[in-house]
Amino acid sequence: MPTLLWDASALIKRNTLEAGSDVVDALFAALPQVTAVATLWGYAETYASLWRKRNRGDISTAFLQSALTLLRSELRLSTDWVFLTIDDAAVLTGIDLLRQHNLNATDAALLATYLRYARSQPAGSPTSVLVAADQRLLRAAGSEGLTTVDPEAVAAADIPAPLATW
Amino acid sequence: MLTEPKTELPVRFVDKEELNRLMDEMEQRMGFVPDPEATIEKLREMLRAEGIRPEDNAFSREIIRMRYGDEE
Repeated sequence: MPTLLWDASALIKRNTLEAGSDVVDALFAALPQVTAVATLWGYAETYASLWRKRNRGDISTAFLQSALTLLRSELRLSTDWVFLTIDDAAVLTGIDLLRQHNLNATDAALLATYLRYARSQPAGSPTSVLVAADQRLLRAAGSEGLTTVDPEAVAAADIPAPLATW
Repeated sequence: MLTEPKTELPVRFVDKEELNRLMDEMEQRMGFVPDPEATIEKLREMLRAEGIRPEDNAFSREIIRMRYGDEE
């Protein structure tokens, strides 16, 4: 079973209803057999997206309250999830990556963090798979050799097979 | 295939116990009260009732907009 490296652009699909939410649900259903990895930054981006939507009047305060409750219980309080730190070295490595892949600094530092994680795994470890709906990030990660999945581009019914083989 | 490591920097994990302590304190200050009835199914029902269309990907697009502005 793989290690899933989550980007906020995919994570937000769990707490909302979007194309690919069913795929994200299928990946969540595989916990704790799959290892789930996020960053605190990604958690904050997910939080911010919900908050901004409420401030703009697109969603109700009641919805925001429920969504933040689930974000809290399913990720932050869950022992199934680990968070990586985006440190200064990742930001510096990110500057190199943003030049190569036309990323912004956030995506680049996130990618640097996940690449460091994936490359640090001993031979024979589960495959590290980036889960994201941010196309630039997916392209850059793929170019760097990371396996990727875009929840918007696959069917939920197709998830069990790759989970078993990644 | 992943390329060879460019660095041997250690992978750094967030101390979740400390994170949870800090976030719990912050949420208490903000007056955040968790919804004990919250479920994913209930969330999605609420969104349907609020007229959110799944195909718009409004929330993930919001995140991408936060990163790249209108340049998608």
